Amino acid sequence: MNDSTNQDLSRLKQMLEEVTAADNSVARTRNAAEGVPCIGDVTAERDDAEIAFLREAWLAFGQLVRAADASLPAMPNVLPTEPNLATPIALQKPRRSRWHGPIAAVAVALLIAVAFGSWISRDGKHKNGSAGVLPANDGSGAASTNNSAISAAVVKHDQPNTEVAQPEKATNKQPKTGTAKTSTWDDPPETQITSVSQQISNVEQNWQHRVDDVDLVQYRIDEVADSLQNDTI
Amino acid sequence: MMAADHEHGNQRRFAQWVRDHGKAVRGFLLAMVRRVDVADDLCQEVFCRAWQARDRYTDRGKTRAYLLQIANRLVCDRSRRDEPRTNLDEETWKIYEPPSEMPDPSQAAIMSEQIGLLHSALDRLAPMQRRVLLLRYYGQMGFKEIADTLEVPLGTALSHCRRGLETLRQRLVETM
Repeated sequence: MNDSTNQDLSRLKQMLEEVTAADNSVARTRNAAEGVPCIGDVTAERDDAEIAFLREAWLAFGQLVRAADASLPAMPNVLPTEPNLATPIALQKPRRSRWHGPIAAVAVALLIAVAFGSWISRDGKHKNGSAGVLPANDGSGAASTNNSAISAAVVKHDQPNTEVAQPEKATNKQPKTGTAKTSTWDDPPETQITSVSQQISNVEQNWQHRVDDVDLVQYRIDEVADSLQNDTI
Repeated sequence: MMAADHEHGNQRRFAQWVRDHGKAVRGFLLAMVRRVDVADDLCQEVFCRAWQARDRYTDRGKTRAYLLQIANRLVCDRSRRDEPRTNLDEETWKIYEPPSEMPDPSQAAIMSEQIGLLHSALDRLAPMQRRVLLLRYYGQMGFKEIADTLEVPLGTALSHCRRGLETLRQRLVETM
């Protein structure tokens, strides 16, 4: 039972493949191999009245589809036909707003500023032992004085009267920015921003002073090294 | 560099697909939906989906069948989605569906006698018969493949094909 069904199915499939072959060469080749004569476009042997019948319908259908396709308006040029245009428009990612970049940059800058501010205030607390308000200059001033003391010691050992090694002079370089104070959580944002920006400028100035001091020490060390090398010390 | 080459290769392959199979896909869609504008939209959608899936596609020389499978799925989705609309009366239809710049089905039929004849022949076929014949004609797909695409047993696909051809013959051979 099952075998006969399969056979029927297989036979039907074969027949329909023959009927709906793209061209007649398939049927002709097959029939020629089997020694079955061909008459025109359709085979006339085997159970072939049906094949001829259906083949005729298929050919008429194909003819009609081709004629209908030919009379259609041209395909709109919405599809890519060139390699460099091959990304369909619908697939392009939506462009990001041009404001995203600047807004992100400002946000990051603010975050960094706040982080710096809090770091500075913590640093000041540690150094001064005072709570709440940071005398922004004091901590850096102390550091600067320490550096100046080091440089002075070096200079004293080398050339006591060298002008670059005057601790007073180094102290004079301290910026007069002692008015900055830390903000508290309930201050308005403008005040907090102002406070943070003042602290940032203080940090920048103090940093510059520290760099100057380090340069000075480096300069003196080089001089001492030269003197050692020349045995003039 | 290699990624760029790969992408460039994809683009060239895709452009080739459009050139080689665009007409067949469009013909299949038009025969299924009978509206040039809808067929063009769906055709675009077919190629968009193929492009999106380009990295997952393995070329086994059956590109057209692959594209027609996508097209068939889109037609099914559309007919499922649009089914309630067919029950609307003419006035309500006009409210929801603005007039298209493309010819409507009746105008399209007038546009060409062949199109009209084809449409009237296809109208006589059951949807499944139409699908089987169109997939066979445009995609040159094997019947097993058609059965898989339509998710029906092979015997069912063959029966649809046979009955569809019989119906077509009655209609076409007598008319032509």
